[in-house]
Amino acid sequence: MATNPNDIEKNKRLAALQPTTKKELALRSFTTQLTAGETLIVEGMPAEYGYFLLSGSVRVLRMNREGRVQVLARLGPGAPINFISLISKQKRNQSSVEAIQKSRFLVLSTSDFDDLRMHYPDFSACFLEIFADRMSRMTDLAAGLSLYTVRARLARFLMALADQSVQGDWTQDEIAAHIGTVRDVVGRLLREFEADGLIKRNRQQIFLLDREGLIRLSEDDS
Amino acid sequence: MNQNDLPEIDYARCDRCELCITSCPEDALMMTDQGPTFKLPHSCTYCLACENACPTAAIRAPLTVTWKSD
Repeated sequence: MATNPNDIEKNKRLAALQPTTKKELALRSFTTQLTAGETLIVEGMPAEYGYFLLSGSVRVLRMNREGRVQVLARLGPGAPINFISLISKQKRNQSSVEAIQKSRFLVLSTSDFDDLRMHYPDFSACFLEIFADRMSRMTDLAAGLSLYTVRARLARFLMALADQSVQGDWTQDEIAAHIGTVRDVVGRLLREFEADGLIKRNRQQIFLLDREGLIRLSEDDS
Repeated sequence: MNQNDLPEIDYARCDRCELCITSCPEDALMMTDQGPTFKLPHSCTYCLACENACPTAAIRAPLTVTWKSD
């Protein structure tokens, strides 16, 4: 069944497309829904579809060399998923994606994605912007990795969560992926922050106690 | 405490390796036909050891972050 045009209008990037492009996208795409824990795509399998997350949240997973599953990213509404795999020469899913909560997706097949790219310049430009944004985020992350310590990046992220400029409940793995480190380091630093009186943990709750101390720490570039 | 206060276990991802059970310092987990289950939910301190031990990311222990109001 074709996508409801309202779903396209709710996505900031897709809403900016020309009316004819949106109409064609609605005709060629469809929507699907997953419940928490269900898998959208599996790493290494042929890349057959690209997705836009309409609602909910997902985590992006990849198997590391030791055979452990690692969280690479956590994505929220509006996020494009798996389009780089559709363009890549190998045409294989580069990672697995599963729903954290009940989530809805707009689904576009490889052939329809290619057709739209070829025949609708604004659609193609939309994806250039998406890839440019992703490149920019990676550059920011690389800059953060080289300019600030992992302690500073974690302090910044905790404050962003508490200030709700970043939404949701995050696991150590997801936090680690977001700030460019690994879960074990996040766990160790949370314990250190608690010992230093910056935070207090009570089961799944982390309370930030010392705003000035955290701000000082967030500027640590040594 | 309710179920929402415990780490979430995704049985579809779980490979029954029992590492979560052996890693739990409170011995709060046990293996059932379904997979690992909290036999002593009140013993769970949310220490995150089970999540850290799980090789298939089947255990998810989300954290919420807020400013402490005085």
